Amino acid sequence: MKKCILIVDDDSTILESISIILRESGYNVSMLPNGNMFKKTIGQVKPDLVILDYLMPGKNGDELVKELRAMVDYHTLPVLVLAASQQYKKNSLEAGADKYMTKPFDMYELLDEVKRLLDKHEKLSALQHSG
Amino acid sequence: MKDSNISLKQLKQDRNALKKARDLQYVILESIEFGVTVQNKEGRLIYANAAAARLSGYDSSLALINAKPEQLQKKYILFEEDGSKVDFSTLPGRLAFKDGKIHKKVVRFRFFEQAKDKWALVRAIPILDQQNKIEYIVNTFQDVTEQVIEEQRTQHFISIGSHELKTPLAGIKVLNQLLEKQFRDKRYENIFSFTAQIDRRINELTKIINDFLDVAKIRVGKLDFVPDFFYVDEFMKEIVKDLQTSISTHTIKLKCSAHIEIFADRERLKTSIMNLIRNARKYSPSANTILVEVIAEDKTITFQVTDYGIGISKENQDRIFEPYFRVYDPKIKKTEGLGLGLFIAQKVADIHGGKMGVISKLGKGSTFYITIPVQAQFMKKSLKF
Repeated sequence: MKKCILIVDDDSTILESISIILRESGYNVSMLPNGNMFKKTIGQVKPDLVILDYLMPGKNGDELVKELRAMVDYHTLPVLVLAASQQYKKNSLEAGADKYMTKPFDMYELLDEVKRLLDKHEKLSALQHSG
Repeated sequence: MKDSNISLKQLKQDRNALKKARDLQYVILESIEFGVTVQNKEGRLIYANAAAARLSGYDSSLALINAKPEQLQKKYILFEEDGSKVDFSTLPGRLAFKDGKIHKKVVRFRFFEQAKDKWALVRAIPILDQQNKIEYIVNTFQDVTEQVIEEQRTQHFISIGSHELKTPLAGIKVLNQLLEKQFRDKRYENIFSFTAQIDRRINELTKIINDFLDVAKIRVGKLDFVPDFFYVDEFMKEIVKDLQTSISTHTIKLKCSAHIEIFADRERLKTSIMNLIRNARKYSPSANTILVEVIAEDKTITFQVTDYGIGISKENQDRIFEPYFRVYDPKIKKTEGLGLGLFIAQKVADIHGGKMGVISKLGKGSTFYITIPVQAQFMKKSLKF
């Protein structure tokens, strides 16, 4: 079954470009232009991984990560945060993000990171279930 | 007899020399920009120079010396540099009294009568007597407001600049990689959409770089000014036509009946008015109209842009013309713009010998205007600000 990735970014170029790359790499993709409908969308699409832009209108990336971590069933969902500088790295990781990448990023590195985070999450889930 | 005459003469000379030296010291102390105060060993203020009085918000040294501590507390409150409340026991004067050593600290003063804060580097130097006991404390106050504001601006610039420059770059990079992949896969369906987006991103970057360069030019007083003759109605129609193609959310209504030829910097004026219209769109997300008017009077011409958006609070109306200042509102896209457009536009109005301003009401909308003389006062190619 195809894995589903939710991308939240107010920059339409980044949003669409990443979604093209991910779709072509065999993922299902959902997109949001801001964090307003974040919780609702999570419940609907039940993503396997979330990519979040840090600076957005309304809620920032770290606030969304905190919201996600407070939701039942999503404590360990892999989250990758994108931002233009290193200055939000600490906030993002402290809020519970798994990975922080700075823009401009290499799309093949992003793909590698997505795959790595999904594999890790799968292995951890398998361990939990077997334990 | 002769000896005592000499000594009397000598004494007079010495006394005059001493008086001269003291007068000179007084003149120096009263004319320097550093505030200087002296406290006796009981902590009472026994001297304050004119700058100290000025920095403390008093008209004269005597008024400051005679002020009671509770009166001073009514004049201003003190903060640490980062905005947290000052712990009085950490002030240099208190520390110097305690350990007899020199102490210094940057303190933020908020005067109740003024809207703006001031920062001062406060130094306390203990003067010891022969028994090594504190006799006086000399306090100096150096106004470092300009330096602190400049530092804050630099921090702000690094933060905003990195985001605003890297976001379009990130778009270009990812689109370029997508293009490359399409060519490699011999699939060409999205190529023109990608190149158009790259072009848009390059234009965004160019605008940002131009704004940064303009601010740098303004700082050294070298904002270039190239005036030309042109008709305002044709000029405005061109601007509105250009912008309407990229703005689909709002209708730009133009009211301009004046077929007047003016002499002004066409490009700079165009950029400034376009910025005002883009701002009008950005800050009126729930509206669908932007009104652009040209009002011709005897010797002046006014360009006016009105939106029906969120409006600007009185407090922010004073600040929006500061470089890098942006109004934050949850309804507005916070990742857009450097906060330099209005700052530059105001300087453009200035180089035309004109003025720029805003009339706004929270929740109702804003009107920005640029008024310039019909024949710009262009005595110099570049003007210093």
